Amino acid sequence: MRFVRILTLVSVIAGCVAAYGSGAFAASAKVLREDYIREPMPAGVQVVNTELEGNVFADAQGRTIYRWPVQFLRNGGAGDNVGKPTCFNTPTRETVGYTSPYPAGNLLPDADHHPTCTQHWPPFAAAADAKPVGKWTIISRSDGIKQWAYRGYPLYTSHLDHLPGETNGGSYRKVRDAPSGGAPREPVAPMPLVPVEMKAQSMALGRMLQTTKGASVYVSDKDKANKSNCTGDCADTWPPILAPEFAVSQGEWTVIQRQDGKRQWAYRGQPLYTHAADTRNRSYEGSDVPGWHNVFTQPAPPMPAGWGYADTRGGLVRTDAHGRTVYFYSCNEDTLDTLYCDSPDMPQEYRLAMCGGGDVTRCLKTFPYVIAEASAKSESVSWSVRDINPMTGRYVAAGTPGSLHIWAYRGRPLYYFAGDEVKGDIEGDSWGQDHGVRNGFQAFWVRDDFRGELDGAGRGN
Amino acid sequence: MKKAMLTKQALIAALGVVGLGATSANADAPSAAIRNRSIGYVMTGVHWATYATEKATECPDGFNDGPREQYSALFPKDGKQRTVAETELTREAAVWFPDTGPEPSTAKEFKFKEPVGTVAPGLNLDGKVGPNDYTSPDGEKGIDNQFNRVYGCVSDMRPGGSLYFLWNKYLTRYFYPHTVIEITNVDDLVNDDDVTVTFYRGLDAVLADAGGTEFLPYATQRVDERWGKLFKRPAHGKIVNGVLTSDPGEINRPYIFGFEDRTFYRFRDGRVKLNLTPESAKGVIAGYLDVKSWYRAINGALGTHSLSYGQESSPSLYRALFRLADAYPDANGKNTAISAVEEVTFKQVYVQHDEPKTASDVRKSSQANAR
Repeated sequence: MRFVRILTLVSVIAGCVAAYGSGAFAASAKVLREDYIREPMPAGVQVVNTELEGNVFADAQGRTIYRWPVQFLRNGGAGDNVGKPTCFNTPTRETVGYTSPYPAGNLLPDADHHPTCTQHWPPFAAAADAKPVGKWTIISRSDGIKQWAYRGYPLYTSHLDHLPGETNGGSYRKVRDAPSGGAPREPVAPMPLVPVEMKAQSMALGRMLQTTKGASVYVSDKDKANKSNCTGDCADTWPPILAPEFAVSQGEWTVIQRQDGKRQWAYRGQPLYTHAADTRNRSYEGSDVPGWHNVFTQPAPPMPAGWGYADTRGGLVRTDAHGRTVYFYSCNEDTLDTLYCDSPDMPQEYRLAMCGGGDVTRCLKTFPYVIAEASAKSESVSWSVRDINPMTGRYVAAGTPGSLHIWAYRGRPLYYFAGDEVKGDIEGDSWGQDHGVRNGFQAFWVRDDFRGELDGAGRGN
Repeated sequence: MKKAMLTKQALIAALGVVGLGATSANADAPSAAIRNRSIGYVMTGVHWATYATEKATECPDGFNDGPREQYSALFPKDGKQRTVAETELTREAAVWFPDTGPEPSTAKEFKFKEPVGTVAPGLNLDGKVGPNDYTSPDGEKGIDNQFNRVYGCVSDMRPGGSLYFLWNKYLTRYFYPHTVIEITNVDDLVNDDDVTVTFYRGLDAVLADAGGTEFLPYATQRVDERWGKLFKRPAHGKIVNGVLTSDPGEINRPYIFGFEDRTFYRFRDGRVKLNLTPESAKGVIAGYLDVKSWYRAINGALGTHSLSYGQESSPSLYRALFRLADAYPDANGKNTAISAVEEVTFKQVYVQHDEPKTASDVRKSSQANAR
């Protein structure tokens, strides 16, 4: 049974390979990437293909551009409305009481040195002589900055992004329990080049192709290039994704003629199907059937060497080289700015409360860092090897006495949970305020057959 | 051991005794429900069995206070500015690193209120009649249900409480907590002294009527042989006069709320006592609830915000659970499990062990299972 499960997982990964046609996962010339619809952009704006979020708009330095749409939290809303930025260089010292049940007015950790919103989210400024173009407009802020907006939403970069392709500031993936998860920022992107019936969704294993209704899209090993061999009963189980009469081939998308005369979409030469027996959206169930694979416009970057997966009571999680479930930590402040409090540059009181009851020694025992081998290297920008002071939780220079050499994902450290006893344990999942979404720990889910529309949780994965 | 075998007519007569009638349309219902000496049921309702009267006379001092009330007691609006660390984070740390020491305050909001009285639903788990045991509403003595002392005056868990309702909503809404029991080796739903009762996690939607409120029998329910191993537990059982009981053993129960976290709690010496019909089952699951697993489950599934609705203070409940725990002592002699009972309802299903590979198979399966 375990062998079958491994084969199933390999099938999913192989599907990623099949979808892009290369054996190399890393950002290299051989890896096919998701295409997008070209549109007019201001000077100084470019499109960068990122590992986790597909194509995004970026500034001249390649830093991802974000927007911050308003999100209604339990006791109020935070974020921007169209044309109305709310992120300014205004010191914030107190909680706002939006996330319940705790009241407003409590002093934030290290309040006197608390970063302002624009220190973490610099507005994406327009030059004095910049002009609107296409969907790009310019907002005159009250602080005098002219800020670019896309589709009306004010734009920002993130202080967490340093390299082109990084999306440490946010994700398209939905935040589970949004009223508790804060008001997240999300990358701004050109439209993917997909038919109107399709969308590409960021998932743990890559950018998964789905129908606009959320059904997973699959390909078959038995098909030939641009030729479907799935008919009769096969087509009952794997309904072909039909192309409308007016559809034409474009880029990596082709319209093929089926044996029954109907027109079907094919992507990178592979005819596309849904799976009638899938019981939920964003499903991997079809990949459990030998010879069938989910479709990814581009795969996620590879995990650290020696890492793997484990079956759990809820699905599949990532494990470190020792087979331990890997966890990430998420936190957002109860302020109007809803700044992330889960990066090492922020006060550690939040994390220490959840991992050690305020005690750093207990924290290090309860949620130890995932240690990286001395020679460990990452092949991607999403995974990184960092050095951290375990007593302060701050990143330090390599070789600093007392530091730990650890793995990080999206710029944030990774952990395992001391209470996990055997492979597949997830006892550290949903640990913390509002089951780990507001301030706590969540397992690194890869496949979740039970969590409805929400794949994984938080921003870490 | 020789099983009691009934003729078809005698079986129909027996079913008439338990109120099913014996019309010609129903005459085939029992044989349709039992196939290959097996019958399955999917859980459609669950509540912790506490003794709750309409006027809450068992809680003369009222209900317990919850997180909001305790927060206000610790940190009153006295004009003093406090920090996030000393308030919110300290209270949350107490949830995730609880202890059995004294409460942080002697304010009334921290005085734990147990229900009074000697009546509570449940089973006699240890076969004894002890000084702390209850008497059931039917007069049976020796009832082991110390969980009632913990939650009997917690509004969340009482009829009308927010968790009382929501737990059932999410039980059938989401797939993770689907609980299926399959009785195998069964020849007779009225008397059979040698059956096997196996718990599974189910994978299919629970069939409901057009209004979505009444659940229906005769649906198919696949069981989760892949992710649901934790929940699969066989036990020996017997059926006497239509009542199924099982031998004690470990039962792991999936627990979920609206945020779809994947928690579970564990019964030690868990067993069922269910009144069976060909279309439904109703009764209890009882045993010694492992305190840490239950505490972990409820706090993983719900945050302080949600628990506040029903005035559930996790740190206070942790102390009460361990104070009233009555089984499975650890190396220091501290009990780690508490007698508890769930009232449960099930609808009959056809249990499917092999997941269908094609939609055609799904259609064929459903046709084969049609009444």
